[in-house]
Amino acid sequence: MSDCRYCLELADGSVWVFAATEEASGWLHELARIMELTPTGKKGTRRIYFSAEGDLKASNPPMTIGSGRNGKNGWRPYRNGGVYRVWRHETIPEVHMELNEAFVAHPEIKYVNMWSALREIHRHALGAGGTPIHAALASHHGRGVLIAAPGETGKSTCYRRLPGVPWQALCDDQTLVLKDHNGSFRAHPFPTWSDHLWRESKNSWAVERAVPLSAIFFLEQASTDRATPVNDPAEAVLSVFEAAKQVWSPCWERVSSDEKKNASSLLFHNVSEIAGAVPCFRLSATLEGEFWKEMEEALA
Amino acid sequence: MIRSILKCVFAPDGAERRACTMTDIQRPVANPTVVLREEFDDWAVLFDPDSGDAYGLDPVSVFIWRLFDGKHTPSEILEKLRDECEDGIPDEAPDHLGEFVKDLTSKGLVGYAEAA
Repeated sequence: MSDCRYCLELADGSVWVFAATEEASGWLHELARIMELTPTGKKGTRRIYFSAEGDLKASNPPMTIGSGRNGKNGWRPYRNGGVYRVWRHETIPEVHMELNEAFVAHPEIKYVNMWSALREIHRHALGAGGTPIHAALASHHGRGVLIAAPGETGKSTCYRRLPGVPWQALCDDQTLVLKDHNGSFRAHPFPTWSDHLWRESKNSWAVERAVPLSAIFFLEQASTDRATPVNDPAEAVLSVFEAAKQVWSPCWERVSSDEKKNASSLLFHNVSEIAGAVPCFRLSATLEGEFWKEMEEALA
Repeated sequence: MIRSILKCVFAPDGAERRACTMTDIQRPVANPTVVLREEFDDWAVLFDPDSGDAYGLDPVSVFIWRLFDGKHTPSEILEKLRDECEDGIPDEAPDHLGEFVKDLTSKGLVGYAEAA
């Protein structure tokens, strides 16, 4: 393993260390740049190791896992495709992700692999009472607010139109919600991978910077700007659930029915907790109006 | 006290309602794997872990759902609902109940236990 190691500390206290072999170090440097991670010497509470291999389907387990008499010493390949392979262990808090060396520098696939790598953090979040959610994240006087909606509804437009201080736009596509040690929910901005995939952006996101989650706004396009409370708590649960499922559904297409069932049950439980703890609102927004003033009034 | 029969279960994608007739031979029974989460001020959410889908239930629907135990016929369910509602139940309540059960059945949330 090279000296290439980066650290990500999350609101739930977990400390993630990303490390890479020499062949995958350039890839990891780019991931760290996008996520604004800092170099580290820490061991961390969870670790993801990246390496590059020629033929994933034929190659032996990574050297760092070893083989042993029983084959793979409890390590199991979770995914074994042509583009990347993931090894997990039931008890060791490490993941080994092997990248097909042909695609380490590919202008699009390298970002797809970065996106996939972060699913390990999503899985951890689910087990810890949180979830990723398809929503933009902004802060108002340091309080985090989510703007959730299906694609093409206007999250990115709202994100771009937010005025400056006291507002700060943090991300426009995906947010990670976690429970901190006090049991309160906090939100981390996550990268918009499509910016890199299709728009060749050089954007970065301060993923480590979490804000306390103060409200969730469910966005719809309208002729008048308005924010109204979601008074029906069951409706709030369903809306948060839908926004979270938009992140999870692509993963669930590739897993066993038992794994999907367990994950969706856990997700349902977590979003019920989130919707119960965080005020939810319907946000009707126009293209020209000052929708953020409606949000400010709701937050007051 | 439940005052009147309200709109039945809704689904996030807006389930199509179909007219339905039910007989008193059929006793609806809730799918045992479905989770009913009730911490929401008399409202509740039904979660189907097999499909990963969730549905909201208003208070009347929650009351009815609890009677889907395979022991109550539709007539008996309506009778219990009539006893609960201060203002009685509308004439179209049997049709509403039929639609409700049909909706849940189409989603795999409810089945039938036949009378012995």
